[in-house]
Amino acid sequence: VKINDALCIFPSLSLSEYPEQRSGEDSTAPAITKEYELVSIMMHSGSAHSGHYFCYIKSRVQSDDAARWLLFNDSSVTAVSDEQLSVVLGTAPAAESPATPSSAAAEGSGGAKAAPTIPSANNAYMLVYREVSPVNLRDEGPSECGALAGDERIPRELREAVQRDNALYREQKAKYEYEKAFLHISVSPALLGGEFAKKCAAEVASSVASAEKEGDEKGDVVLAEDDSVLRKKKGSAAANRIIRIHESCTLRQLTDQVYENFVSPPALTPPASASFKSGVSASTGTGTNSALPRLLPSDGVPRCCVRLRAFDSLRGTVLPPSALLPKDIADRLEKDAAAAASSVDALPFDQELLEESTVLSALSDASLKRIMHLEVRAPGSLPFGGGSQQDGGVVFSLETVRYRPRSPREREADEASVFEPATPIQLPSDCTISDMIQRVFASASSAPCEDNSSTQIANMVIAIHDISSGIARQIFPRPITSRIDYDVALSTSLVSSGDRVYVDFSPSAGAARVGLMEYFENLQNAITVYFPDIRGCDEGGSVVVDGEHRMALSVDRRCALSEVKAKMAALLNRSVDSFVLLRMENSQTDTTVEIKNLTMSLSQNGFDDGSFILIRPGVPLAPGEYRVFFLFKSVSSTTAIGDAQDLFVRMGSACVLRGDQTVGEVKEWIRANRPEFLTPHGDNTNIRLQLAQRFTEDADAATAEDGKQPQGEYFKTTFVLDDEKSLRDCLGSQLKDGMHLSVTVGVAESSFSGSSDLFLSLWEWMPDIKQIVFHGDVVFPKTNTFADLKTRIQNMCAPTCSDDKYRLHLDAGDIFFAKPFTWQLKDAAANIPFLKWSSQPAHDGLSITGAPYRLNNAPLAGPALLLFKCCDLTQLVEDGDEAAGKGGGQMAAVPEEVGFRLYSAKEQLVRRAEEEKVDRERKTLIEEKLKALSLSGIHDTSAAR
Amino acid sequence: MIPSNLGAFLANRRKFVDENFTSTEGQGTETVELRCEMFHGTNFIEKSDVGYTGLINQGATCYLNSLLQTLFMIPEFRLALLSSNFENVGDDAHNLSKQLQKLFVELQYSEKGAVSTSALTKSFGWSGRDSFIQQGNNNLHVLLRSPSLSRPDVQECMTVIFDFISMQHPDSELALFLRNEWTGSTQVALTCGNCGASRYRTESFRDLQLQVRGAGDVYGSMDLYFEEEAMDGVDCEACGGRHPHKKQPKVTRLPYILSLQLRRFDMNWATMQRQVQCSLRLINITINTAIVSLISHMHPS
Repeated sequence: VKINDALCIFPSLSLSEYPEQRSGEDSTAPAITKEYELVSIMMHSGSAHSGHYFCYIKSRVQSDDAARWLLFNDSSVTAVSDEQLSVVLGTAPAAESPATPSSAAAEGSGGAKAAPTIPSANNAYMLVYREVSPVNLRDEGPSECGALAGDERIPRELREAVQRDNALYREQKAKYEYEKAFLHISVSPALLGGEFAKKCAAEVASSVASAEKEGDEKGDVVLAEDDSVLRKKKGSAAANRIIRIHESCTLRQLTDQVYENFVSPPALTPPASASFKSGVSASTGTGTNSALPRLLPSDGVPRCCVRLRAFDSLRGTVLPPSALLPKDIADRLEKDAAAAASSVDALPFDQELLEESTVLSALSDASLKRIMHLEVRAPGSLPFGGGSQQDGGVVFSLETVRYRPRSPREREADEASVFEPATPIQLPSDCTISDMIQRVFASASSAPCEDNSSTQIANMVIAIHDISSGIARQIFPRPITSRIDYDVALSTSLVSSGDRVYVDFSPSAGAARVGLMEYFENLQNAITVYFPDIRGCDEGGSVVVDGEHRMALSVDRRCALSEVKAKMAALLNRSVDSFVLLRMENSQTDTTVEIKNLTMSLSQNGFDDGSFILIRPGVPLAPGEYRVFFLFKSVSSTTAIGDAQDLFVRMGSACVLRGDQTVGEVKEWIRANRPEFLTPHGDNTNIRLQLAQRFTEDADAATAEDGKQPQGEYFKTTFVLDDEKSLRDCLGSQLKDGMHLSVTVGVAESSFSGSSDLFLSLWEWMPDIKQIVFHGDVVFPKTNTFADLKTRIQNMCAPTCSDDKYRLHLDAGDIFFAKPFTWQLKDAAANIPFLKWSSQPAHDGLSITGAPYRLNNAPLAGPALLLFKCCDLTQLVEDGDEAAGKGGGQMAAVPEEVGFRLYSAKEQLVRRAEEEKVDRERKTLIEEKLKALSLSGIHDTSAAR
Repeated sequence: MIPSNLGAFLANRRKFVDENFTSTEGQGTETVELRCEMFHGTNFIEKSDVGYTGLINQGATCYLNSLLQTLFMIPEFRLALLSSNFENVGDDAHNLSKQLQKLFVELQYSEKGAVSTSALTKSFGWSGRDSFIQQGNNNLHVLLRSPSLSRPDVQECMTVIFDFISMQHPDSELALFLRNEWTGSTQVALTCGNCGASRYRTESFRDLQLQVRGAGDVYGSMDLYFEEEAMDGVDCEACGGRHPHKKQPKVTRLPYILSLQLRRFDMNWATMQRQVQCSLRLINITINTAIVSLISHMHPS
């Protein structure tokens, strides 16, 4: 609890010290008054649990001796105005508008906490005053490094280290400043149009098999493949080139440099980083070489138009140009667009044209993670409308990546999505996607490249982008999840004539890859269908599936589902008639679609490579019946301690429910048929049903491995609480076949009657297996006494105590109250490892031993989780009134002690010996400290230690 | 650079403290490597206009940063630390005093906008962000616990750092400064209501923990702190038997540097959200049975 009372802080204090008195003496010496000035205010903003510290410090560096207050907020140091200061001191009320300290440094530093917004007196946390004295030193501020030499009091090696560090810093900073102004732009010659296209085509032809280049350019789809294999070809003319250009260059300079680079390769190596004196690059091409071809004669007519689009490489989506452009340009474009809307002839393309005098840095507002695509084209060569199509459309396509130091992870992410168009393949516009993929595949594998290219290709997932329409529309998404008819001709539904298609083979994981490999290997329209292994049927006629074991079937995608079904039946050795086929999105989700028409082919039913089919044997459902999966919460995991009943989920079984069945009936069914999921000794009166939306089975493994939150997704939505209502009334439209109901057995929050009840959760520490075993939850009214509580605990734990191996030590125990526990806290609690839970003795003097206190005498605000610690009371009282804190200290030091424990007599002896050894050291320290304290004086203390 | 009048102060301190001053000149020529924190996020942190260097928040170390800057900005403390000769006691990397000194040198001379405290916190025995490992300084691992478990505490941190330096380098300039200029004392008089005899107990303090609630201003807080308190049933040595006593604390020595802690965090007994983490703190629970402030558990010693 944080007390936010306002406290007026004085910038100066006048305090008196009194002469020390001795017993029997009457000292008459006068008190001495000392003057103090405030030098530092440490502030805390936020709550008792989280918050931010910063401080205001007075400094006197100015020559006029006027105090200056500074705000030190992590990496930011800023001056404080008088108004702000008076608010801090509590002499002026907090301003209506937040007196935000300027936080220039905090803005740039990603990790820094937000600057404090409303500093006010009620946040001061610690004050430091300094006596006003003639010997007061004045802070003269930090020093310049050059002045170090004269300062001999500071150890030399430290000074020198800082000097070295400063030098390094200056160097790196200069380098950074220099480098960050450069854009690295990759240019693909393959997409050059017009003269350049021809020139480059010749180069490409010399190095790459050119069988695909036949055909009429005009009506064909130019296909550029982005293939890591091709990228590896060293020295190939088809390879992309990186242009390094300063951001102060204009678009015209950029295009000039592009020409230059492509005509006279390589000359592209960035200048050596040794000489970065000024921030302006000398590498900016000016296009003065007369040998360079020109798109247009240099007659003052704009040489190029630049079209800009932003491609979010992480999400694979195209951003509107306004996301990329500086605001004034974006506004202008928008205005143009509005104006153009009235004109029929206006083409959207033209609205994005940029003038060639635009400076590159003006385009760099884009988020650095995005990849910019710049398309530069000659005004006369526009493929649509104004331009003549003969020129071949897009002149070239550029990709720019702004320089920025990147983490390895980011680099990896970018790597996977780098847009590097390579060799163009021209295809007749009536070729199908199927053909196209084969062509690409064939061309790649026939190319004289390294060994396992076919494997590499096969391991790719295909994405096809239509990059010519101004928007990089993804026409064949990756990974392959949705329906794509391979037989559709390119021209009919996907792209139009003259379009450029970018086929992206990118590595991907999972079934889709396998499926694709299958596809390429067979080249016979095969689709691999996975279906879960069926473990058996339960009495409800539903299957118990094993998500771990999937079975695969490779079939032609034109074959009817009934055939697939028959094949499955053969594989499973079961009768065909008993199967119900369901289509799953993938193995991880349970979104299923029932397949009714078995005569249709796989592709007609939406199956792609690597599709998943869930098959279920059993009776078809009657109307109004639903097949429901129960997810029972298991309590067998020790890592599930934080939230006993809820972390650990196991797919239990399924049954067929009727929509008009009441919730009560379902619960009855669970009690009767699934006793193994009930808590053995807890209070099972309450069963909760909840609709579980998604469910993955990885949860177990993830929980067990690292104790983190389960990786699997598991969204619970609707509570089904009313026993009287039918399922249909409770769940409404959410009730459907294949749904999952999560079942929690035990105590539910509805069992609490107001705040008068305690939620009691019993755990036992089993030293031999080093695990904490759950005994159950009960709701325990607070009107009971501690003695009642003990009895209850003994009863609950009796079964494990029956063999006399364990002895209950509650008599000597104490009760600890841990964090309040409600179901709503579940998620938070799951994040807190159980062993770290804070705990404290119930109350000073409130002992369990024969005390007539009722539980509601204890200061419990609401439902609380009671944890018990059995230990010797004598240990606790040893330090007298310090006992109040002892428990906490001990627990923190020996976390295994938290929780309710039962010891065997022998076990306790062993443990006790261990504890004593640890305690002895600590006690020695404590005793010394106590002794030192009573003697007073800091000298003695430090000496004693 | 250290201003020349600091030298005068140093001389005065020498007069005040009757201790030997060990020169740091000519000590060792070992190489000290500082890590160059080139980027923070994606940008350089520019040095602030006011000329001082900030401290990078490693994550939940803002309380430490506040404390360090406050210490740095007390010229006498800065001087004492920078002038101290912390002769090599084992491994430098685990020597808090040395690391603190190193950090202050950086704050003094660095051209960066902000420097890192990671070497210092590493010397506390924290690894990574703030996790606590049982190695490093054998004393610190008893004293310091990871701040991740509870709200980090400026005052606690200060006490631990001061204690450690006083303990490990009792003769250093800094230890002397702390001992003489940052330590005050109070005397508690316990007066018997029956016979009027008084007993006295003197305690030293490095800071005063003042109550905020109901205080109004700092003077009010001080008044609350030094309020006379009636105690029932205390054994009187003078007249024998149990009698009501009056307990009256007062300051007998005001330190040069006076730090006042405003108690803003109380233990909530229902939720136990403010837990005492450090067992050593238990020693000092003396007053306040109804509400025990977490901070009040700490006594400077």
